Amino acid sequence: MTKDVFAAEWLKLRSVRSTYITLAVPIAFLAMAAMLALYAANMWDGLTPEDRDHFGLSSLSTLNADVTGVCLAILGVLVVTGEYRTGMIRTTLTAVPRRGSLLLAKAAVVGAVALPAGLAVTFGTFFTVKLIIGDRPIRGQPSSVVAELPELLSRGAAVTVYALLGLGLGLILRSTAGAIVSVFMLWYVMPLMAANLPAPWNERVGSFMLGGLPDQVIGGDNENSIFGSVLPPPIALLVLLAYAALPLAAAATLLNRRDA
Amino acid sequence: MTDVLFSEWLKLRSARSTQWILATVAGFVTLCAVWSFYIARYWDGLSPERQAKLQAAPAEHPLVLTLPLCMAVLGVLAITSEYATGLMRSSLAAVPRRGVLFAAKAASVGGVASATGLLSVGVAFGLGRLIVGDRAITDFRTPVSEELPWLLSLGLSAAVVALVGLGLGTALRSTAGAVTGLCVLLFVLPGLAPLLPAPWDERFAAILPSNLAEQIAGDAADPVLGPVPALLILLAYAVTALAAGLVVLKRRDS
Repeated sequence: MTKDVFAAEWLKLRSVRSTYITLAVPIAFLAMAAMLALYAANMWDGLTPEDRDHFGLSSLSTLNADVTGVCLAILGVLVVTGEYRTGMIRTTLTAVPRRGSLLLAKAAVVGAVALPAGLAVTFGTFFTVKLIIGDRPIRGQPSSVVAELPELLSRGAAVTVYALLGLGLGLILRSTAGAIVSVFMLWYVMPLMAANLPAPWNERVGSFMLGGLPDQVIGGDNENSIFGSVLPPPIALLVLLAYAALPLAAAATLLNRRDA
Repeated sequence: MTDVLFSEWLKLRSARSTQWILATVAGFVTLCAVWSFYIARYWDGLSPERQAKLQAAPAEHPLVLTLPLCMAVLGVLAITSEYATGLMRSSLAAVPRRGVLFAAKAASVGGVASATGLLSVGVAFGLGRLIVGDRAITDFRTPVSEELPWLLSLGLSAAVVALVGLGLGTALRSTAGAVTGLCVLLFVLPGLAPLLPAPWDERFAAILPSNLAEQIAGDAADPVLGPVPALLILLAYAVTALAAGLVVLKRRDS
């Protein structure tokens, strides 16, 4: 029974066009990151040693992990709001009346796409950029895979949290526009607002923002960002997981109580 | 033509999403008041030296990011919800002249968005002044006449974002695609601009919608564009997106 529910969700996910569009965007960003790295490497070669001191390039794998998170969050949203829009959800609930199993299958399918996608894009961007930059010691560029491994793993895996957050918000709001806007609010608008609070609250609230959690999980200090770093790694991990768990729990309650 | 305008107005104001969006804007206006209240209380507790040095975001600040986002969704849903429900077919059966239909839609969306933009920014600003009273907090004390261009351009850019949403929604016919596209334009591109090599980083950042309002008002610290070119670029966003929407609407079957 459960296997069939998974199979049905998987079929639905892979047969809609939006899945491929949301997955294509991070790949396009990877191509863009490669071009940017190529450009920076060329520029570096032509600089004098003094100018090289002022030249920097921020971590492109971090940037692409963020973009992938948002894309997968949108994928998570569309997995449910698409069904509500077309009325497919009524067929789905007729076929699978146990709403808990349905939610579980949806979360599993979304997670099964998001985790490999997040890791593949983060590591893919890292290695592509590394290949192009070579051993040029450009400021802001990571030194080695070993040193970067925790960060790549943490940021790549955090994409799954974004995707499940999108799924939860989609189920709660049942509206594509509302859920996507909420994702952008959590991802971008809230951290900027938090950064405007007077000290020390900007750092305290900033530490709880979604984008600042992956770095705190590995004990980083969110250098050069608007995020704070007051949380110890285990707490940061719990908060990060709560970003996926709380909306899903609310969604489970609402899915059980509301009519489709 | 009046009938078309009236029907578009009726559709816009009776959609639940419009009411949600306006309620969200009202919520953020309340947040502006809470923010001003908080800053006033915070200021009261500071020593005179620290009071003089306090840098606080002005009252309308919570609206700077959220108002364009809300207006973008208003513009997008004005058209994509019609495609989603199939109402678009009735609309086109009733008004076969697509240019007229689109103009009426743009007029009603533009009207609601500019009214919402100007009103919310004005109320947020006014509440901030009322709450802070005669405390000499730096960013709450500039004369109203100096703030006016900034407040007006903030309201105007919100209306432009709504029209860009309408244009993009018509061109893409997808709520998710158009809302995401606008979020990228508003939030993601400003983050990518610094990655470009100088002087293109500043030039590119200067023409992004989120940076145009302060250049129109002449408030930018290091402006690339003067007020008039910035205003023209802002209007060009609306014109380009609406033109793209109109071309698609005229050519494709619904």
